[in-house]
Amino acid sequence: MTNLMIGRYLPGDSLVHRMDPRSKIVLVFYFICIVFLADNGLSYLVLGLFTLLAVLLTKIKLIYFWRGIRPAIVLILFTVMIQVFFTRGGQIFWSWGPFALSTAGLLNAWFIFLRLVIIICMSTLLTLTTSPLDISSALSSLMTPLKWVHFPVDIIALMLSIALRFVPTLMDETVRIMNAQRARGVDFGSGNLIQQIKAVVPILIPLFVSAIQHAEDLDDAMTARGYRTDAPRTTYRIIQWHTRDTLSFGVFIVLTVIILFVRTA
Amino acid sequence: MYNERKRGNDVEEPIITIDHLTVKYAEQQHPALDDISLTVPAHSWTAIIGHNGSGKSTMIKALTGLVTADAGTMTVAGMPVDEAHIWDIRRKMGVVFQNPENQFVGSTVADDVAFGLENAQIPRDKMIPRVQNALAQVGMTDFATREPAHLSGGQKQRVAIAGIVALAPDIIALDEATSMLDPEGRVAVLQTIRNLKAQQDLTILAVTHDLEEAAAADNVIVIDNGHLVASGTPPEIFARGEKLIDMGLAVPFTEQLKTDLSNAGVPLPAHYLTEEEMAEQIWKLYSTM
Ligand SMILES: Nc1ncnc2c1ncn2[C@@H]1O[C@H](COP(=O)(O)OP(=O)(O)OP(=O)(O)O)[C@@H](O)[C@H]1O
Ligand SMILES: [Mg+2]
Repeated sequence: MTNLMIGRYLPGDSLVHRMDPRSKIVLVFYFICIVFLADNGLSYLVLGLFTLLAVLLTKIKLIYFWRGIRPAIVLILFTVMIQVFFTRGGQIFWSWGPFALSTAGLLNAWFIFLRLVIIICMSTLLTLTTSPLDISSALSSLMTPLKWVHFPVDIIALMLSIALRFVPTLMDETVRIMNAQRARGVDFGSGNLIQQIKAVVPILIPLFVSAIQHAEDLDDAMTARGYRTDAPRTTYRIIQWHTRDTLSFGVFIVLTVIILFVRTA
Repeated sequence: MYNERKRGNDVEEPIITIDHLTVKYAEQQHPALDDISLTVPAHSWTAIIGHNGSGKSTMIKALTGLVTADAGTMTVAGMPVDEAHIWDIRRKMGVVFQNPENQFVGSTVADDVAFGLENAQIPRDKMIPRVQNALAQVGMTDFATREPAHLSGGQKQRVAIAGIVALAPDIIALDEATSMLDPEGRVAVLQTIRNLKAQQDLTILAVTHDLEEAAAADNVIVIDNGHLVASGTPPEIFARGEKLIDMGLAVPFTEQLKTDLSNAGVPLPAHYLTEEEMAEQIWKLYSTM
């Protein structure tokens, strides 16, 4: 049950695993922007090879990346179909009303397909190699400049990490409550929509009660250990920037230059 | 037992005083604590015993300002428990709460132990050895990077204790802090706390349902239904065996044995006997028969 939410992270010690989570997040976003620069076969080839290289560097089996793509397959196919049938240009093989099958349409669809697969692979790579904990610390660290506009960065960061920390606890409790309700004869996952929704209510209420109980106790425990929102704190957990992170930024700059060079426009 | 040195000097400054304390939760008919007055001598080990719902946890929460007193006054480490002193008091008195799940704040074991240190604004380079040391004390060094979801209840209790130990307070309040440990684990953790107490001259306030543990304390406080029923040394308390049984508390094995032997007409001293003392008494009796 716990694996549902956070099981996407696969611990390891590849180069990618050991990168600073902040640089991974920033670079993945940056990469997604670069992908939109590609506009011809060669630029997609470069990006595709780059993604493949990155994927291989993680030393994670390809099947896990496929699992990342699988949930999006419907979306991908739908987008590709639209591109195929609604783009006209070049040689037209077939047409009927607004629909057409043309070389331009096929090429466009192929590019869109590549673009989506590349983007999904890269974001999957981020979540596969970075623990949720590291992602949350990285996000808080990246939010630091917001302190200048008096955004409560530290409080949000603590909230985020406590929320993450309680996900498994509440998941376990959900299972326990569901089992207790089953023992009382509640049938989950059958009946019509209304019946299913009705079956969920007796799970949600005890779950809320228990979450509030956790929160109250946690409040006491945190206060007793001297936590106050109005006082500064020092930090134990730090994320470390290494030479490999600086180098990765270099690699991405080189990639950008190559893409700018090979693209048509 | 761990306090031979202290027991000799009869007058110890009380480190905690509670004077006519009454606490009533909103929406509750009866006060959770009703007119409690007591003192806890510095450097002592004081056990608090009583039924479920008798108000033990409430008392500890009142001392650290987590619930407000409806009447009465308290002092901790020479400071009155009030708005102005509460944060200083919280630095002097660490509390290990009853439910280890709900006091695990950090995302990993080490992060959690560091939480109190972060609040106390200890610089990071000083935190690292303190976290390591505290984890070593409770035997959790190998688990430093574990997430709480992958720990047992007993392991979480050890982490909670480490989190307080790292803060090096003068007083440690343990609210059934070893209830989820297996017998060996409990003995080991209690021994650790005893050693710490000896090294750092701590005062320990331990809520427990384990009468063996209470019997080993310097003082025992018995609370029932919000009232202070008895307070004294373990021999004094356990000498009132019947009364404790009435209140539904189990009496330690040696006491049970003594009562049974007395009923069977075997003469034994009236005061509380440790296991060794009991063995000695029986051995004496046996050899004179
Ligand atoms: N937050 C609260 N709100 C309302 N009533 C409470 C609250 N916490 C405790 N009580 C009530 O106050 C009384 C004393 O509770 P307390 O938790 O202090 O008992 P305890 O001696 O620690 O029991 P246990 O051995 O079960 O831990 C109980 O009747 C309890 O129901
Ligand atoms: Mg309690």
